[in-house]
Amino acid sequence: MSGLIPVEDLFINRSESGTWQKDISDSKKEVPDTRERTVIIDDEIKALEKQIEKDIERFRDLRKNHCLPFFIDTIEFEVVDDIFDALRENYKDCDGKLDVIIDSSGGDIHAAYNLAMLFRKYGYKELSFFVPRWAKSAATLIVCSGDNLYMSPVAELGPLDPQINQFNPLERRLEDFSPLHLGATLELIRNEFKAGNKDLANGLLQRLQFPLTLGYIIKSKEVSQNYMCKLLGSRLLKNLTPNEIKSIADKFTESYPDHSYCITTSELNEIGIDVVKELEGPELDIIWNIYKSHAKKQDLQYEKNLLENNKNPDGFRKTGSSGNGNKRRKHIRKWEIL
Amino acid sequence: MIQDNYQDKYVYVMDVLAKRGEISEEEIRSLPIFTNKLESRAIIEALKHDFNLKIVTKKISEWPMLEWQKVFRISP
Repeated sequence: MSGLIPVEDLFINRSESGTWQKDISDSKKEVPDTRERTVIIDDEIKALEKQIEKDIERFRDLRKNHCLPFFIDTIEFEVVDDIFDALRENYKDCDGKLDVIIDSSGGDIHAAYNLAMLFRKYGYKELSFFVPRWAKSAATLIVCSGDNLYMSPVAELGPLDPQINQFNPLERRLEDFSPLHLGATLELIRNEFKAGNKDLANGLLQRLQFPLTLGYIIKSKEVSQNYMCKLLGSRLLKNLTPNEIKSIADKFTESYPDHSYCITTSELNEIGIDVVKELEGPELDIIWNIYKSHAKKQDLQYEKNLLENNKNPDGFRKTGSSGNGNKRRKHIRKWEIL
Repeated sequence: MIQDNYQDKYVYVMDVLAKRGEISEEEIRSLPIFTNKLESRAIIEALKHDFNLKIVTKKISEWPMLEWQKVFRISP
């Protein structure tokens, strides 16, 4: 990253005319290798894209099934349309066997359920999910909809407790919480009240949100339980009883202390999903290659965006391209309920 | 938290958004003015709240490797 402008030099000042602008005194210094580096990055991205296509082809030949790579940071409503279009256009000859390579940090639970049902339509004979690194939150719901689940030795799923991200306008800060946290908060207030600390309990109560909103948030947990039971019981764990399925769904929505909890193959075995298989051999090699190439491509696009932002006087690149670094290092936990 | 030291960055992003009408999440995040992801995320959430933004997930690459980016638009 040599040649980039230090963050402190990009501090924004209001000019006399009242418009906002950056202090770019240092940024005017020409960075000699920016253009060359951008060209190199473009070439590397093209090479990675070719490599990914080649690996997808290899995987298709190896498995003798249709294969759909589904790498997305956050699953949203519009993604269902795009996947539907891609399947309609490119999987017309699908013979009912579909492999989906999935890497996602989650997203909207309703869109995820809809996608799961769509994948089932194309994989009506056999639907297999392959997880190279992670399928968290709402993506966990998707991988539970298939007949087979294959995970790399470092792959992880995640709990399904809904996550609420909302902006607190009074305090100007983000609030991330789960319905499980609300239960703990109410318990805390109850205990303070019982202990005679009424002022503290009242103070905490006044900071809580509108009761109907609280009820709605707590109720949202049932949505994921319901979807999970429907999907698990009809394919992946079709041999289990409804009570056993419900018990597993409850574990996903209530038992884990944190939404980022790492659920590996051994954890899945412990909670009763013993049909999951750990990837090995050439399948693992190809899946891992695709994952690594995609991650590398994202990193390069992020670097390119930074270079272009530095070149551009108003601080923004003019054309859109994907990439904000390796997104999987953060964990967007977003079920937009509110 | 949108504290004082974030305020300038917030106003800067807001100004560009107001001028262009839309901005992608990646565009905001890849601005070198942000030192960490929490900063850009807090500003995105603040903008979403203050501007009543419409959020659209746009597909930016074709099969076999589909990719998406999130775009924020000012609601008319």
